[in-house]
Amino acid sequence: MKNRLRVLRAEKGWSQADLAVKLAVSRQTVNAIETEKYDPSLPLAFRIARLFARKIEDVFESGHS
Amino acid sequence: MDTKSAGMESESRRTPAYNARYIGVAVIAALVIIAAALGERQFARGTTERIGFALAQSMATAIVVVMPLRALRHLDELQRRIQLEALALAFVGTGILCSTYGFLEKAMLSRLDLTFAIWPAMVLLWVVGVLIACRRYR
Repeated sequence: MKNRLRVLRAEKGWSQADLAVKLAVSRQTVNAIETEKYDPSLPLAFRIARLFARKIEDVFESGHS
Repeated sequence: MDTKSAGMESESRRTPAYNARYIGVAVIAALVIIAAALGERQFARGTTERIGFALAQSMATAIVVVMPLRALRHLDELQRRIQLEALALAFVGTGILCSTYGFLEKAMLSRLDLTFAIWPAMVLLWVVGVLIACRRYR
């Protein structure tokens, strides 16, 4: 699954560590999502979308589309 | 899930006091295992004291084993997946090693009590599993 997390985080000027604290996950998890090595669970995906005030489909995009 | 409350819970579980208590209990349990192993030598097999020392070792071992399982609850979803993959490798790998030795024992190897080899093998394979999984998600 592709995502725009790195771009959205850069727009806010946050580090991976900052974002990890805001999402209550580890920096390793943020990095794995950004590099698309790990697809987050639906609750975490919603938390990410909510944090950036976006729709979930604006942040995540299926690789099959 | 409420992000704010989840974050607060996560933070409260990672305080130095919590970590110190966690490490302290594990160290005490390990000391009980060592003390009981040394103490039981003073008594003959089948005596009440020896059985008591054996049960003390068993209970302390259970504490040492259960504590990391409790710690899993405080990990995030990726870290849980890493731990699951590592534990699966340790579980399956130890089973394969033990059964392989069992088959070879029947064929050629000398008889060996594997009781004390199982935990080191599991821990070693768990560490290998964590390293492999961390590399995969790096």
